[in-house]
Amino acid sequence: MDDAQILTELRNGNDAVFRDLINRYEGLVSATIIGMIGKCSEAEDIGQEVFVRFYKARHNFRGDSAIGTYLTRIAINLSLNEIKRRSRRSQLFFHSDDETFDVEDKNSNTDTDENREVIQHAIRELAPKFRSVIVLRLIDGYSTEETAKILRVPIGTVLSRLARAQKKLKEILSPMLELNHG
Amino acid sequence: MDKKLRDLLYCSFDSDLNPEEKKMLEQALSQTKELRQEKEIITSLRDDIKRSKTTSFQPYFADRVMENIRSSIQIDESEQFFESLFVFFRPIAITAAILIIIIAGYNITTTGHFSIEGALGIPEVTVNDVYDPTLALVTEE
Repeated sequence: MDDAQILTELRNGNDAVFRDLINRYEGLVSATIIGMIGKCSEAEDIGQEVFVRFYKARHNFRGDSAIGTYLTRIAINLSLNEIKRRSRRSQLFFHSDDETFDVEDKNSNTDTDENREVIQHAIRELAPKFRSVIVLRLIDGYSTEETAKILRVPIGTVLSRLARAQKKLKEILSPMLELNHG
Repeated sequence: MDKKLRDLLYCSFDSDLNPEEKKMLEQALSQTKELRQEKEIITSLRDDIKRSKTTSFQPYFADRVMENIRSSIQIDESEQFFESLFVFFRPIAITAAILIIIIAGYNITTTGHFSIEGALGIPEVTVNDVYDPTLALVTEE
Protein backbone atom coordinates (compact mmCIF):
# COMPACT_ATOMS: atom_id res chain seq x y z
CA MET A 1 0.00 0.00 0.00
CA ASP A 2 1.56 3.33 -1.01
CA ASP A 3 1.37 6.64 0.88
CA ALA A 4 -1.65 7.94 -1.09
CA GLN A 5 -3.66 4.77 -0.41
CA ILE A 6 -2.69 4.84 3.27
CA LEU A 7 -3.85 8.45 3.54
CA THR A 8 -7.17 7.69 1.84
CA GLU A 9 -7.80 4.81 4.23
CA LEU A 10 -6.81 6.92 7.25
CA ARG A 11 -9.13 9.73 6.21
CA ASN A 12 -11.95 7.19 5.93
CA GLY A 13 -11.31 6.22 9.55
CA ASN A 14 -9.57 2.88 8.92
CA ASP A 15 -7.69 2.45 12.22
CA ALA A 16 -6.27 -0.94 11.22
CA VAL A 17 -4.28 0.82 8.50
CA PHE A 18 -2.99 3.31 11.06
CA ARG A 19 -1.82 0.44 13.24
CA ASP A 20 0.06 -1.00 10.23
CA LEU A 21 1.57 2.43 9.63
CA ILE A 22 2.83 2.55 13.23
CA ASN A 23 4.42 -0.88 12.84
CA ARG A 24 5.95 0.14 9.52
CA TYR A 25 7.50 3.40 10.75
CA GLU A 26 8.24 2.56 14.40
CA GLY A 27 11.82 1.65 13.47
CA LEU A 28 12.47 4.93 11.69
CA VAL A 29 10.87 7.05 14.40
CA SER A 30 12.58 5.21 17.26
CA ALA A 31 15.99 5.39 15.53
CA THR A 32 15.57 9.13 15.11
CA ILE A 33 14.41 9.84 18.65
CA ILE A 34 16.82 7.46 20.41
CA GLY A 35 19.63 8.81 18.24
CA MET A 36 18.74 12.33 19.35
CA ILE A 37 17.95 11.90 23.06
CA GLY A 38 19.09 8.37 23.94
CA LYS A 39 17.20 5.31 25.14
CA CYS A 40 15.06 6.67 27.97
CA SER A 41 11.45 6.79 29.09
CA GLU A 42 10.91 10.15 27.34
CA ALA A 43 11.95 8.58 24.02
CA GLU A 44 8.87 6.37 23.91
CA ASP A 45 6.59 9.24 25.03
CA ILE A 46 7.93 11.35 22.17
CA GLY A 47 7.50 8.40 19.80
CA GLN A 48 3.84 8.13 20.78
CA GLU A 49 3.38 11.88 20.40
CA VAL A 50 4.80 11.71 16.85
CA PHE A 51 2.11 9.24 15.76
CA VAL A 52 -0.68 11.01 17.67
CA ARG A 53 0.21 14.28 15.94
CA PHE A 54 0.27 12.61 12.56
CA TYR A 55 -3.12 11.01 13.24
CA LYS A 56 -4.64 14.36 14.18
CA ALA A 57 -3.10 16.07 11.14
CA ARG A 58 -4.09 13.36 8.64
CA HIS A 59 -6.84 15.50 7.08
CA ASN A 60 -4.47 18.45 6.61
CA PHE A 61 -1.48 16.42 5.39
CA ARG A 62 -1.03 17.38 1.72
CA GLY A 63 1.41 14.62 0.89
CA ASP A 64 4.13 16.99 -0.41
CA SER A 65 6.64 14.73 1.30
CA ALA A 66 6.59 11.00 2.04
CA ILE A 67 4.85 9.94 5.25
CA GLY A 68 8.18 8.64 6.63
CA THR A 69 9.87 11.98 6.00
CA TYR A 70 6.98 13.84 7.63
CA LEU A 71 7.12 11.57 10.70
CA THR A 72 10.89 12.03 10.89
CA ARG A 73 10.48 15.83 10.81
CA ILE A 74 8.00 15.67 13.71
CA ALA A 75 10.36 13.30 15.59
CA ILE A 76 13.35 15.62 15.10
CA ASN A 77 11.40 18.71 16.19
CA LEU A 78 9.98 17.03 19.30
CA SER A 79 13.43 15.66 20.17
CA LEU A 80 14.96 19.13 19.83
CA ASN A 81 12.23 20.46 22.15
CA GLU A 82 13.09 17.74 24.67
CA ILE A 83 16.80 18.63 24.46
CA LYS A 84 15.93 22.30 25.13
CA ARG A 85 13.70 21.30 28.05
CA ARG A 86 16.50 19.17 29.55
CA SER A 87 18.99 21.95 29.06
CA ARG A 88 16.71 24.45 30.87
CA ARG A 89 16.17 21.95 33.68
CA SER A 90 19.86 21.20 34.02
CA GLN A 91 20.59 24.94 34.23
CA LEU A 92 18.01 25.24 37.01
CA PHE A 93 18.97 22.19 39.04
CA PHE A 94 22.60 21.63 37.98
CA HIS A 95 21.78 18.14 36.70
CA SER A 96 23.41 16.47 33.75
CA ASP A 97 21.12 16.79 30.70
CA ASP A 98 22.02 13.29 29.58
CA GLU A 99 19.27 11.40 31.40
CA THR A 100 19.39 8.11 29.62
CA PHE A 101 19.23 4.59 30.92
CA ASP A 102 19.24 1.21 29.34
CA VAL A 103 15.94 -0.52 28.95
CA GLU A 104 16.45 -4.25 29.32
CA ASP A 105 16.93 -5.98 26.01
CA LYS A 106 16.61 -9.76 26.15
CA ASN A 107 18.51 -10.21 22.86
CA SER A 108 21.48 -8.20 24.01
CA ASN A 109 24.98 -9.01 22.91
CA THR A 110 27.35 -7.47 25.45
CA ASP A 111 30.22 -6.33 23.18
CA THR A 112 28.00 -4.96 20.46
CA ASP A 113 25.79 -3.25 23.03
CA GLU A 114 28.78 -1.68 24.77
CA ASN A 115 30.06 -0.28 21.46
CA ARG A 116 26.60 0.93 20.56
CA GLU A 117 26.23 2.64 23.91
CA VAL A 118 29.62 4.35 23.55
CA ILE A 119 28.72 5.61 20.06
CA GLN A 120 25.25 6.77 21.13
CA HIS A 121 26.77 8.57 24.09
CA ALA A 122 29.33 10.26 21.83
CA ILE A 123 26.55 11.42 19.48
CA ARG A 124 24.71 12.93 22.44
CA GLU A 125 27.84 14.93 23.28
CA LEU A 126 27.32 16.88 20.05
CA ALA A 127 25.38 20.13 19.91
CA PRO A 128 21.77 19.49 18.74
CA LYS A 129 22.29 20.96 15.24
CA PHE A 130 25.24 18.61 14.62
CA ARG A 131 23.48 15.69 16.27
CA SER A 132 20.45 16.03 14.00
CA VAL A 133 22.48 15.82 10.77
CA ILE A 134 24.35 12.74 12.02
CA VAL A 135 21.11 11.04 13.03
CA LEU A 136 19.31 11.82 9.78
CA ARG A 137 22.19 11.13 7.41
CA LEU A 138 23.99 8.22 9.05
CA ILE A 139 21.46 6.54 11.32
CA ASP A 140 18.24 7.05 9.34
CA GLY A 141 20.08 6.87 6.03
CA TYR A 142 18.54 9.94 4.39
CA SER A 143 20.40 11.54 1.51
CA THR A 144 22.05 14.93 2.01
CA GLU A 145 19.21 16.58 0.04
CA GLU A 146 16.51 14.87 2.14
CA THR A 147 18.34 15.81 5.35
CA ALA A 148 18.44 19.44 4.17
CA LYS A 149 14.69 19.36 3.41
CA ILE A 150 13.79 17.83 6.79
CA LEU A 151 15.87 20.39 8.70
CA ARG A 152 14.92 23.21 6.30
CA VAL A 153 18.54 24.30 5.82
CA PRO A 154 20.66 24.56 2.64
CA ILE A 155 22.60 21.48 1.45
CA GLY A 156 25.89 23.31 2.03
CA THR A 157 24.95 23.75 5.70
CA VAL A 158 24.23 20.03 6.02
CA LEU A 159 27.60 19.16 4.47
CA SER A 160 29.56 21.51 6.70
CA ARG A 161 27.69 20.35 9.81
CA LEU A 162 28.34 16.73 8.87
CA ALA A 163 32.06 17.39 8.45
CA ARG A 164 32.31 19.23 11.77
CA ALA A 165 30.23 16.60 13.57
CA GLN A 166 32.44 13.78 12.26
CA LYS A 167 35.60 15.62 13.31
CA LYS A 168 34.17 16.08 16.78
CA LEU A 169 33.07 12.43 16.97
CA LYS A 170 36.52 11.34 15.85
CA GLU A 171 37.99 13.30 18.76
CA ILE A 172 35.55 11.85 21.29
CA LEU A 173 35.87 8.30 20.02
CA SER A 174 39.58 8.35 19.23
CA PRO A 175 40.50 5.71 21.87
CA MET A 176 37.95 3.29 20.43
CA LEU A 177 38.86 4.06 16.80
CA GLU A 178 42.59 3.68 17.52
CA LEU A 179 41.89 0.33 19.13
CA ASN A 180 40.03 -0.84 16.02
CA HIS A 181 42.81 0.36 13.73
CA GLY A 182 45.71 -0.94 15.81
CA MET B 1 47.49 17.77 6.24
CA ASP B 2 46.14 20.26 3.68
CA LYS B 3 42.87 21.70 4.95
CA LYS B 4 41.33 21.81 1.48
CA LEU B 5 42.11 18.14 0.86
CA ARG B 6 40.72 17.21 4.25
CA ASP B 7 37.49 19.10 3.51
CA LEU B 8 37.27 17.38 0.13
CA LEU B 9 37.70 14.03 1.83
CA TYR B 10 34.83 14.72 4.26
CA CYS B 11 32.69 16.07 1.43
CA SER B 12 33.31 12.98 -0.71
CA PHE B 13 31.33 10.82 1.75
CA ASP B 14 28.12 12.82 1.40
CA SER B 15 28.12 14.46 -2.02
CA ASP B 16 29.43 13.95 -5.53
CA LEU B 17 32.68 15.79 -6.19
CA ASN B 18 33.24 17.30 -9.63
CA PRO B 19 35.80 15.45 -11.84
CA GLU B 20 38.56 17.93 -11.02
CA GLU B 21 38.07 17.62 -7.25
CA LYS B 22 37.78 13.85 -7.54
CA LYS B 23 41.10 13.63 -9.39
CA MET B 24 42.77 15.93 -6.86
CA LEU B 25 41.54 13.81 -3.93
CA GLU B 26 42.52 10.51 -5.55
CA GLN B 27 45.99 11.84 -6.26
CA ALA B 28 46.36 13.08 -2.69
CA LEU B 29 45.15 9.79 -1.29
CA SER B 30 47.71 7.85 -3.28
CA GLN B 31 50.49 10.15 -2.09
CA THR B 32 49.59 10.94 1.54
CA LYS B 33 49.54 8.21 4.16
CA GLU B 34 47.95 10.54 6.72
CA LEU B 35 45.00 11.25 4.41
CA ARG B 36 44.51 7.53 3.74
CA GLN B 37 44.45 6.88 7.50
CA GLU B 38 41.95 9.70 7.97
CA LYS B 39 39.74 8.15 5.30
CA GLU B 40 39.92 4.74 7.00
CA ILE B 41 39.05 6.22 10.38
CA ILE B 42 36.09 8.19 9.03
CA THR B 43 34.80 5.16 7.09
CA SER B 44 35.02 3.06 10.24
CA LEU B 45 33.38 5.78 12.32
CA ARG B 46 30.49 6.07 9.88
CA ASP B 47 30.01 2.28 9.88
CA ASP B 48 30.02 2.22 13.68
CA ILE B 49 27.41 4.99 13.80
CA LYS B 50 25.20 3.14 11.31
CA ARG B 51 25.46 -0.02 13.42
CA SER B 52 24.55 1.88 16.61
CA LYS B 53 20.98 2.31 15.33
CA THR B 54 18.26 1.26 17.80
CA THR B 55 15.09 0.48 15.91
CA SER B 56 12.28 -0.22 18.33
CA PHE B 57 10.54 0.94 21.44
CA GLN B 58 9.18 -1.46 24.06
CA PRO B 59 6.84 -4.26 22.84
CA TYR B 60 3.18 -3.42 22.04
CA PHE B 61 4.11 0.13 21.08
CA ALA B 62 1.30 0.31 18.47
CA ASP B 63 -1.29 -0.68 21.12
CA ARG B 64 -0.11 2.11 23.41
CA VAL B 65 -0.27 4.66 20.59
CA MET B 66 -3.83 3.61 19.68
CA GLU B 67 -4.87 3.87 23.33
CA ASN B 68 -3.24 7.30 23.53
CA ILE B 69 -5.16 8.41 20.41
CA ARG B 70 -8.47 7.13 21.79
CA SER B 71 -8.02 9.04 25.06
CA SER B 72 -6.89 12.22 23.32
CA ILE B 73 -9.94 12.03 21.01
CA GLN B 74 -12.21 11.83 24.08
CA ILE B 75 -10.51 14.88 25.59
CA ASP B 76 -10.85 16.73 22.27
CA GLU B 77 -14.56 15.88 22.09
CA SER B 78 -15.27 17.25 25.57
CA GLU B 79 -13.22 20.37 24.79
CA GLN B 80 -15.19 20.81 21.56
CA PHE B 81 -18.48 20.48 23.47
CA PHE B 82 -17.53 23.25 25.91
CA GLU B 83 -16.19 25.38 23.07
CA SER B 84 -19.47 25.03 21.17
CA LEU B 85 -21.41 25.92 24.35
CA PHE B 86 -19.30 29.04 24.69
CA VAL B 87 -19.84 29.96 21.02
CA PHE B 88 -23.60 29.35 21.31
CA PHE B 89 -24.11 31.32 24.54
CA ARG B 90 -21.83 34.25 23.77
CA PRO B 91 -24.36 36.19 21.59
CA ILE B 92 -27.10 35.50 24.14
CA ALA B 93 -24.92 36.81 26.98
CA ILE B 94 -23.98 39.94 25.01
CA THR B 95 -27.64 40.65 24.10
CA ALA B 96 -28.73 40.17 27.72
CA ALA B 97 -25.99 42.55 28.96
CA ILE B 98 -27.05 45.22 26.44
CA LEU B 99 -30.71 44.85 27.46
CA ILE B 100 -29.82 45.19 31.16
CA ILE B 101 -27.87 48.39 30.45
CA ILE B 102 -30.75 49.85 28.37
CA ILE B 103 -33.36 49.00 31.06
CA ALA B 104 -31.16 50.41 33.84
CA GLY B 105 -30.61 53.60 31.85
CA TYR B 106 -34.32 53.96 31.18
CA ASN B 107 -35.16 53.41 34.87
CA ILE B 108 -32.59 55.98 36.01
CA THR B 109 -33.92 58.61 33.60
CA THR B 110 -37.61 58.00 34.50
CA THR B 111 -37.13 57.83 38.31
CA GLY B 112 -34.49 60.59 38.36
CA HIS B 113 -32.41 58.75 41.00
CA PHE B 114 -28.87 57.74 40.19
CA SER B 115 -28.78 54.75 42.54
CA ILE B 116 -29.08 50.96 42.46
CA GLU B 117 -32.76 51.24 43.35
CA GLY B 118 -33.24 53.77 40.58
CA ALA B 119 -31.51 51.51 38.07
CA LEU B 120 -33.66 48.55 39.19
CA GLY B 121 -36.84 50.69 38.89
CA ILE B 122 -37.73 50.50 42.59
CA PRO B 123 -39.59 53.71 43.64
CA GLU B 124 -37.97 55.76 46.41
CA VAL B 125 -39.59 55.10 49.80
CA THR B 126 -40.03 58.04 52.17
CA VAL B 127 -40.67 57.95 55.95
CA ASN B 128 -44.29 59.06 55.34
CA ASP B 129 -44.81 56.09 53.00
CA VAL B 130 -43.89 53.59 55.70
CA TYR B 131 -45.24 55.44 58.75
CA ASP B 132 -48.69 54.30 59.83
CA PRO B 133 -50.31 56.99 62.11
CA THR B 134 -52.81 54.51 63.59
CA LEU B 135 -49.95 52.43 64.85
CA ALA B 136 -48.47 55.54 66.49
CA LEU B 137 -51.74 56.17 68.39
CA VAL B 138 -51.73 52.66 69.77
CA THR B 139 -48.19 53.13 70.98
CA GLU B 140 -49.04 56.40 72.78
CA GLU B 141 -51.79 54.69 74.79
